[in-house]
Amino acid sequence: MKHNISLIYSCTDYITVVTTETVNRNMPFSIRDSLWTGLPMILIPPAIMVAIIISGNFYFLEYFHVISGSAWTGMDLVMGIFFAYIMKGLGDAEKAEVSKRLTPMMLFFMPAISTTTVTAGVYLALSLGISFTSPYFIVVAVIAIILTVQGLLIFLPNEARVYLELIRGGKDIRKIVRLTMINIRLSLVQLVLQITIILFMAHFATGFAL
Amino acid sequence: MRNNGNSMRNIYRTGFIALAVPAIAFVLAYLSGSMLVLDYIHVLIGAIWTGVDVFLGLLFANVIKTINLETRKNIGVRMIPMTLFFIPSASIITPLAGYVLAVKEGIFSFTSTLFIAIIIVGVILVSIGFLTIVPYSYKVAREASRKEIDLEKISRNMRIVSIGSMFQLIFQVIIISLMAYIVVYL
Repeated sequence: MKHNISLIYSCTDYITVVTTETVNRNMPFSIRDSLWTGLPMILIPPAIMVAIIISGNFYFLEYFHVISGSAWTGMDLVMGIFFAYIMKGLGDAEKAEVSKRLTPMMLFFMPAISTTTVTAGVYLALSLGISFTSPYFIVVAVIAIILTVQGLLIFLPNEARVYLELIRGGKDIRKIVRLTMINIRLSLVQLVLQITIILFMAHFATGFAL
Repeated sequence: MRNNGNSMRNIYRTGFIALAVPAIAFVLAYLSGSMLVLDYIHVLIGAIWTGVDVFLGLLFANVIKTINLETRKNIGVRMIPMTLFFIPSASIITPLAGYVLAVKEGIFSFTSTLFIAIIIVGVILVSIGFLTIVPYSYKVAREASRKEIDLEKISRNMRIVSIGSMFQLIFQVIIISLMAYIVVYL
């Protein structure tokens, strides 16, 4: 009886493994597929922003800044808190599978959304006539620079390294997981900075002193 | 991942924190009497809510669609604090803080076309959450607590949560356009 039970468990495990393998083989990493989903994500936000700047419409500039900023802050919260929590409950192979699917989108989406939010913010500050020597503006500028540098010098190269590893077949699961987890932790740091910067945005929106 | 009573209890505990933090932040902002803090909480929770929908409806939909059922279930269970607790909390606190803000600023009016539009879009936005994301996340949680877990059922429910988030995102994009109108023109 004992043998039968262990045999059933072994079969169940085998079926799970086979299912996993089948699904993984059915969904190999492809540069074409990743570009298909990734390119619109990197091209659409800057294209919209350029169109708005050319139109010179203040309302659309404000709207775009709030939307892109919301997406960026929210994404950082999801990545830094909720997604970190999700990943913590998964095994390394599962983490790598999630990373394989998420990295191409994050690689394209995050740089696009972060740089366009900051750029739209600068144009908005210029339109509002906010003094560049105002202490509020200086604090916001410093935080924005830290956010951008972090994004472009740590987040982006890590995502690119994961992407390159996936192109090579994604065999180094440890590397994929390590780099993905670094970025998830970095998202938490970005979130703290964004929560701070939004406080200053609330000052600009309401006009009340901090 | 183990989905026994203990791990589900941990998930509900995390969920309770995700539910309580926005509510506590709003109460503190309201008690402070500061317009700036209230505006901050309204924008911050609203931004996070939008980001959650961007993630669930736009980016994560692709992950859920193609990953194997077992991993999908493990992800679905760990998503519960976000979908079953944070989203309902944010979808109540964000409009509530917005309403208090509009009343305090003296701009709120039931007869204004702008505010009628905001109320309509807001009701649709909250309804989507409570008709799709919340009940189907609850179904994921209930299924994951069972001894015999139906992975297909969890997968189907997660798909509905993801579609719900995508629709919620569309209405968020619309409502933010109305918010931007208030900031720029009122």
